[in-house]
Amino acid sequence: MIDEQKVIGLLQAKALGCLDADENEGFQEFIDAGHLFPWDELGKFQHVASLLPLALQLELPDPALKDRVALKLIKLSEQLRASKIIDEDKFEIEEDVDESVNEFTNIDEPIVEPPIEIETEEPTVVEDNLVSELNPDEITFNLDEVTLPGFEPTEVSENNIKEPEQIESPFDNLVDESQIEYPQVEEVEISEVLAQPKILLPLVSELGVDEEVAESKPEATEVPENNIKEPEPIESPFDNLVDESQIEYPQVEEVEINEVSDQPEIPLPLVPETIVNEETLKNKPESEATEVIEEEHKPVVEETKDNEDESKLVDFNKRSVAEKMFKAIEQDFDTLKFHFEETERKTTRGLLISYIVIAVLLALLIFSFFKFSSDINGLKNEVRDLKNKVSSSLYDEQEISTNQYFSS
Amino acid sequence: MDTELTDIELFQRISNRDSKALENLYNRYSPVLYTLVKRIVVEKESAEEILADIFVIIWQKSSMFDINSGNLFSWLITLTRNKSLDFVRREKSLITEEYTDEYENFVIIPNLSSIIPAGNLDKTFSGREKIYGAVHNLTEAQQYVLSLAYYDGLTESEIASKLNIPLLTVKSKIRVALNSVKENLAKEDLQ
Repeated sequence: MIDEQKVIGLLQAKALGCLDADENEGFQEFIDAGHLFPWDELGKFQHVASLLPLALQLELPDPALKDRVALKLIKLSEQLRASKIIDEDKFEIEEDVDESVNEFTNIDEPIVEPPIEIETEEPTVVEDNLVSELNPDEITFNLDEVTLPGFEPTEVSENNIKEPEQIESPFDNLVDESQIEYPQVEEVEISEVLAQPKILLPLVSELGVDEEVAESKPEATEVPENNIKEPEPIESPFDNLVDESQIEYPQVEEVEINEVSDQPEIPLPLVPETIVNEETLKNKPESEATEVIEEEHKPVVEETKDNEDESKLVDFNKRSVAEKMFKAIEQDFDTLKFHFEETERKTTRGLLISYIVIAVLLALLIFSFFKFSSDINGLKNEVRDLKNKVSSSLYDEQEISTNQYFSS
Repeated sequence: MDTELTDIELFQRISNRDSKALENLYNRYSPVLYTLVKRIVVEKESAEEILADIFVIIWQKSSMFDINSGNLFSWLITLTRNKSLDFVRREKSLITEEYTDEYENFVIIPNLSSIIPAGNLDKTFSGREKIYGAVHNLTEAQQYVLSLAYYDGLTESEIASKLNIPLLTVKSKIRVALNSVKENLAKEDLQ
């Protein structure tokens, strides 16, 4: 072990963090041994060392880096939340398995234990739920200021949204994982809500009648806007990290989707589909079409003048609109998918054909090359033979002629 | 907001999950910290990434700062240096140990003396020219050795082998250099 004098000599290097490993070990042993240690001297040297960067030429970071820091914190909190959800799911599954195993083991009769199949949820499912949960309307983070890569904001009808009673800031995860309260995904999913209505809705809703009814009785079922607390406008990307106590979350108490979904139990006057002749309406302008609808539905509407019924009709109509919008989107996706697959198929076929054509052409090229080369060789041989013959005769003739010349 | 708060007050708020305080701290410290990171890492993109990581660490591990020490400046600078050097060493594959939470707690988070002179950015920044003078009063050799130790993260033995000089010479130079800076700063009441 190193002595006190040596320790004092090593303080500067320790403060600069440049001690060799063995010396650092000896230094630590000295401290751990409980010897009198000059902490104040070390502190002074550490402070001096930390002042060294101030002698450098200052450089300013990119202003956008601030947003990136905030974004990084958000991502981190999302990851923490997702991992927490996955862990909880796994824990629940394990508990279920244990229970089922106990049930089997408690049976006295000798039975063959069936293989236990555990269906675990894919992490992506959880993430999807998480994403739907963390839509920009629900969190206080100002997305106008920070660009989320690959994020496309979606518009969700306010009337159909059921806000969780307590919305946790995504940064609550950074505080302590135990403090995280996870909103119940089941209650929030719109698909479930949309799946609930069992009453056939009149097609009138497509053509704007519902809107007029809604205008006539807006206070019946529409979300009172006064009840919704809009989040205060936030300028800084760090505002999303504000302490939970400082955040005002919008609370929609009276318009829970569950309540809305319960409402269809009240029988509604069903308008038969035949009442509205869609084909005739399509050929007319909107105003005329709505007039026709109004005329056709006058008796029905008159029968249902009761305020509650009308208000519920508005709800159903809105929901049917949403439902149809979803269906339309699904159809669009299907069409796009189909076109994409078709294009892909065509491209693949075209590529195959082109490969075959190229291969055939290449084979022809090779074949013709060999053929021509053999022909050329044959011709060369013939030419050589001819030359041999011709040159000898010419030589003879030339010899004769030169003899003649010289002789003359 | 809260621009008049001291570093310690600001950090206490960060510990209480006040994001505005974190933003304020970023506004105060990001130039100094970024300068240090850039000096060690050189590459701009990496420097920015590391600085972002540092503020994430600050947010997550704020409880590990000993508020009683009263010197947030040294803690942040040391944290930044540790993180930057760790990045460089990993880039050079000098560190193969996995970067875990535990590793971060023991290697990256500074373990400063509990008895350290109080310091905050305002005070130290106002004496920046004096610090510059104190460092540049050193001989070139001392400055170079100091630079290799502090910014390049080399140990004394590595410096000796790099400069091809005896280890004792390196030790001596480091000792004298830091003592000299300390005394000069003490004269200027910056220590």
